[in-house]
Amino acid sequence: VRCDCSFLYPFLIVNGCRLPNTGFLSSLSSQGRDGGLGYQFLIQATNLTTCPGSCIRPVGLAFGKDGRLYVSSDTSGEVSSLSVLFLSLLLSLPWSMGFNTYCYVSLPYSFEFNAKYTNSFVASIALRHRECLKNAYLTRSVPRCPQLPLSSTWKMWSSELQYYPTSLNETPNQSQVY
Amino acid sequence: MRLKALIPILPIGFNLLFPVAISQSTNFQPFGISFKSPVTVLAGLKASVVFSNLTAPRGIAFDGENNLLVVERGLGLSAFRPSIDKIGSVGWERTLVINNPNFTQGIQVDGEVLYVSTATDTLVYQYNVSTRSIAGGMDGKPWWTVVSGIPGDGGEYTSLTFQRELIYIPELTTHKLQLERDSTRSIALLVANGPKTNIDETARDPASGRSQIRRFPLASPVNFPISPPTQNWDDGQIISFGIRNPAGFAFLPSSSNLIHEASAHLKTLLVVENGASIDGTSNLTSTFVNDNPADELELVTFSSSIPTNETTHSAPQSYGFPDCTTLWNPIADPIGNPRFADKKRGDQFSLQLDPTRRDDFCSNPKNNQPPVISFQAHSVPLDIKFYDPSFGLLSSGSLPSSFRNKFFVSFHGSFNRNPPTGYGVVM
Repeated sequence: VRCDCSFLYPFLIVNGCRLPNTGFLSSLSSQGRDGGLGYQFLIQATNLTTCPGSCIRPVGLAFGKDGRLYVSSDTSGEVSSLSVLFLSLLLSLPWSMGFNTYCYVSLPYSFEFNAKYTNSFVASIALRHRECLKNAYLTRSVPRCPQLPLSSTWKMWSSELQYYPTSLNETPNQSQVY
Repeated sequence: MRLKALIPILPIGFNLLFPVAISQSTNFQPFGISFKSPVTVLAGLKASVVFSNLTAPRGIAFDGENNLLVVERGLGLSAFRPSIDKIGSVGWERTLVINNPNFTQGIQVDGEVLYVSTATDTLVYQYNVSTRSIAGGMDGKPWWTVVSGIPGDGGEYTSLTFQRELIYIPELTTHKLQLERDSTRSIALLVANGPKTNIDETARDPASGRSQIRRFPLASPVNFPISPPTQNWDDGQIISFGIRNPAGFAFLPSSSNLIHEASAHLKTLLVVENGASIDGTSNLTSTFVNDNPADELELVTFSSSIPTNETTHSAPQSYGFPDCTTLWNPIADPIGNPRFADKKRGDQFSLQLDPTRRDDFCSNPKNNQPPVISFQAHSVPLDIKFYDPSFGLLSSGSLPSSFRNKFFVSFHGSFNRNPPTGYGVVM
């Protein structure tokens, strides 16, 4: 199957791998259906009923070269940063070790991961959205990043399911696109 | 494997008792100071205060040496960097770079060229990154005006739904700035302008200069001390209009910008837009407007090619303001406002300001580009940034690589919703 859906999916390219960013898509499609917001808070004032008061009121954002997100808050007079707890940092170890075959599939926030039906689940996400992606998925012509084997290591990270390849042999062939 | 890179640099010691030394232009705050009001953070993340007791910090940006520059509205511009104070505490050092109470929010740094916005102008200063100072000293003379004549009278007093006081909404003169780069240098400056008033009917006409983003080409690099040319707001290329208050926008990151492979001159911006307070318009009830309209994320595409004799810029598209807005909760008040009950979140509806611009008008993208994402009503998004790390190894505390190419939006928070919403950062 040769169909380039990239024009539909601006956030599709992850380190040479092409996958639909279903996080983006599901945030669109879930809006108004399940009552969810379609996005999630990384940081929020705890006691909203006291706001504005001295609550954080985020205004400006900037990423540092240290990979942290810096946030200004005007009425509370604060600048703060968001970083990862050390424990969580370990979870991103494969990336740090130089794997370049990393790719990910985003799933709805509430999704309880079960390896048994991952392939069909991911395929169903694609089905819901675009015929083009359905073909791409079902023929397995999309992932030049690794396939989605049932036995590999999967990890939940907040809203996302991350897949780490088990060997460096699964290097994506970047010349092959769908 | 380079484990060393994974060991976090922990503060040597906290010093919470020693009072922060305040000097004329620099002061210091140790790591570990608490937020003024508690925050809740997503599992796996950690929030740390960099600095407290600042003067209304608004726009922020990193310079080439990783100093964090902060517009302190009403005061000027300050720079922050990790440091150790005289007694060995680890923390952040703050240096006041510019005294100028007129800065509003916009800030961009391009080498030694520092762009900031005031209510009516875009200024540049010559910035020395190694000394964190500007040519001419802290009071910042000389500066140069690169865009003048921006309408600076946006803002108004608005009555609150749930309180009887009037509140001034100052967010309408903030003038977000964004440099547009090609592979070698900054080639244009994008400047935003909000509406004159909450619902500004003059913004219907793009020539009004209201509720839109304009593009100003930078014909040649700024070469201090030669004065850069001053351009007038009226001469800027309108790249979108009908975006009520384009408070924040960002280019799609280069790694995902394959949308227009065939036409490299097309650029794509994601813009956050603050919806109007729509109390009292179109027979909307206070229950309905407590949950409507949605704030928005707009996808704006424009051409950066230089028009020739044969071509002109394609006409900019309208995003609906003031006539059209976006539904957040269709069943907020099914009895008082039943006309929305069969609609869904994200649908466009008319505020019925103009009899020729009803719901069917608003539903046509030729008249009104709908948002790509709706935000909860009254969230007040003010900035958007992509996580697009270009480094190979993650440094201590880096956000996870799974956040790569996701976008992050600041929510200033509601002033007229019960219960309040926003007051956070979302992904």
